[in-house]
Amino acid sequence: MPVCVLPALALALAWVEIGGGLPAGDDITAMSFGNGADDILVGTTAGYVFRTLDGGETYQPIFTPQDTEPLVEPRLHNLASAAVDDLGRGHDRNMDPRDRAGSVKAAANLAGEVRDNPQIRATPLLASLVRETARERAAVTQIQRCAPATFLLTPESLWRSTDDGLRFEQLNVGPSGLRSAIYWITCDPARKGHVALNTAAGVLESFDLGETFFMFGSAFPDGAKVDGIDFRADGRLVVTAQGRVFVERQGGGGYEAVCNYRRGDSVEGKLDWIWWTEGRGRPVLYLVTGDGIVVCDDGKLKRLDPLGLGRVQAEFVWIDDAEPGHILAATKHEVYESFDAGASFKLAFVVPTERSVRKLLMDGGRKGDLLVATGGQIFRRVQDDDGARKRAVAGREAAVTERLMSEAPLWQVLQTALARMELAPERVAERRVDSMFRNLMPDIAVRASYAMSASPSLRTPRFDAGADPRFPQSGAPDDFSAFARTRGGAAYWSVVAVWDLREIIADRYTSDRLWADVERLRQKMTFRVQDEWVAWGQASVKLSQAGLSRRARLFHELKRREAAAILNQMTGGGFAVFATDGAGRTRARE
Amino acid sequence: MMMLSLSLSLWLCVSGAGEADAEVAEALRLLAEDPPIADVQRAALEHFSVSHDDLSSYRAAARLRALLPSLTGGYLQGDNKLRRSSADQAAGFSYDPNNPQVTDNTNGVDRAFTAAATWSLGSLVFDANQIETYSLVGIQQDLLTEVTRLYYTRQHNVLALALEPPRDPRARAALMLRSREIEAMLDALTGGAWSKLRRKGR
Repeated sequence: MPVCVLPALALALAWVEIGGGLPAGDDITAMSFGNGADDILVGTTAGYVFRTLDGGETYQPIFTPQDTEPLVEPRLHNLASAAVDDLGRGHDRNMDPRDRAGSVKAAANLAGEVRDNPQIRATPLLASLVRETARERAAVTQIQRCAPATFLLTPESLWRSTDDGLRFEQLNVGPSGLRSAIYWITCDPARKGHVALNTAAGVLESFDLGETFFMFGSAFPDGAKVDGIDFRADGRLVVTAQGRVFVERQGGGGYEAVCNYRRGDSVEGKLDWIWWTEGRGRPVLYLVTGDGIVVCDDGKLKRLDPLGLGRVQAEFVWIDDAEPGHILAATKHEVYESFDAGASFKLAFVVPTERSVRKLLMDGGRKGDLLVATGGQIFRRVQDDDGARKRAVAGREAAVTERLMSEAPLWQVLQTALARMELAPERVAERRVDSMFRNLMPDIAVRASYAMSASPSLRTPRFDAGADPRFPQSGAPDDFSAFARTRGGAAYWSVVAVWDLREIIADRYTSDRLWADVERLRQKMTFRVQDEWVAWGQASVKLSQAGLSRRARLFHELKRREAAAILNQMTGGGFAVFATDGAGRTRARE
Repeated sequence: MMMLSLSLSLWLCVSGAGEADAEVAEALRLLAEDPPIADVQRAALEHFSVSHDDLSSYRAAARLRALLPSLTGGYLQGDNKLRRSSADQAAGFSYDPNNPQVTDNTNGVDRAFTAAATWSLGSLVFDANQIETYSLVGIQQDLLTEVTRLYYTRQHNVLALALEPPRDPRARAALMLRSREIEAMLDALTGGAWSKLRRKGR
């Protein structure tokens, strides 16, 4: 099984992984700097927010998911109906497409179960499905610092902390935003306390840091669905909707279209991402479209360098407001950097695993600082003053990582885990062949029947004897009658074999999307094993370093045990960090 | 298993300097009363009926179901009422359609019993329910990750409270509450086994 780990070693001199303290198996969905470059807040799909104050050495949870608390019966129905809503609304657009199919399936199953039996009890399986749905709804989708507050967004709720992350309170977004999907929050740099919130019900605004929300003063025309919002430096709102970009007019009172971008223009494709910056004395828009990165400068559209690799689908673009011309662009697995306003890009980072780039973060107070989140890892570029020291450390870590790789090869762990889950590629292929050949086997039916009859028959000469002299009068109409009474039965049996020849060539189990789901599951589990292995390896590497404080050693020791515990279960004990004692209880070796 | 020896040697190689380890080991004694993670994981998987054995038995059952036939039974009853007029001229009489010579009156009941057993032999090779079992793998792994994360997050909190408690009383209280919340969630996910295992451990 090809495992892309060598780039990680090659990049070790320029990048360090700082997400080792995060729980493995949980994807990063949001990231923000706190107070300084080493203060980082990370939101995850499971609804946690972790914070590090030491540049990623240790993380502590500062926000726990609200929707994964133990479930009780009344909530089951609410969640089930919400799952049905999800199916229709598809609001969780931040979800990785790989996971979307699974979640929709889970929601459909859940909705079906509850529909079929309104009185259904919370069976473990159903409760698990509910948890899965709830978890998707609990993902932290954005962390936004609007000093002095910190906002957290989940798909359905908005949270705020005004005491530097110590406590978070859920905000009431008012009747307009009630039970509505919440997409994005942005702070007005020109007016303290003014924030705008994009929801499915429209754009809301608050002038008191979220205490109260109202519909945005300059309502977007025609009630059109707003895709994205951002404030300009002068406090005017920028809106993307229907593939076009609008900016609030000076002094409010409506919007004007800028950069006449729309489908069918010289640049085609869906508008995915936008960055607004003040460059060369006038606003410049950078758009990520299905056709690459497009810059809109002075109302004219120009497509930027196609990232040196031909037609590459860009995912994000990040503009360094502090350094004109400095642009970062991310594709699924790489990050490119330009210092000449996009005229040329060079490759800056390759994701060391098969995960995709999820977030970019820069400008944490250190020049050239850049964080890349991929799946469950965070990589940081080493460019600061103590870069040489960190590079040396990274070099040592790379050597230890290489040793770990040779002693417990990731491919072997993967192979064992996937085989245990019956997800090894060859096993799935076998199953698929089986599903095809099963149609060579007939359906055999053995039938037996026993029939019996009881039919009294009366045969009667009915001619009129009186009218024919040749027949004497008998005096009774049935003197010449004959009785035929049959009784008895017959038994039959048969064996029938039925082949449906069409099914041998293809049926729903050989070509259906069910197998695609199995493949997706295999991919997901591969990522998970990789994440756990990387987390375990990182903790082991950290523990091999000298001079760590007791706190750091304890932290990494627990992280190492956590990853090992999961790998041990996934491999059915094959990872073997645990042993069974004499009493049959499982104890950690240490 | 090969992995066993690999990880053992790996464990030895990543163990750090003795003094620091002794300090860490001393601190980890605070967690000695916690039930082993493997037991907690097993309890959660069993509570949700998604342990490896459960999944294996679901797969096996899916295939073995082909051995049992689907049975159908039937009963047929026909009321046979027949009146037949015959133009029998055997006796040498001329036929008069208005006066048929022979009439059959039948008033009978036919009964039939049928039984059939049908085997879908294809299911012996592959049964669609085997695919359905895959949907439980994702749930199993999510549950496993969740339980493990909660277990170790609690341990982080316990150590933080014992070794470096926050100075701010609110932060201290929040940390304690979070630990209790995690314990409640562990209980919910293991069907109460977490508390039982802890009592047993003491």
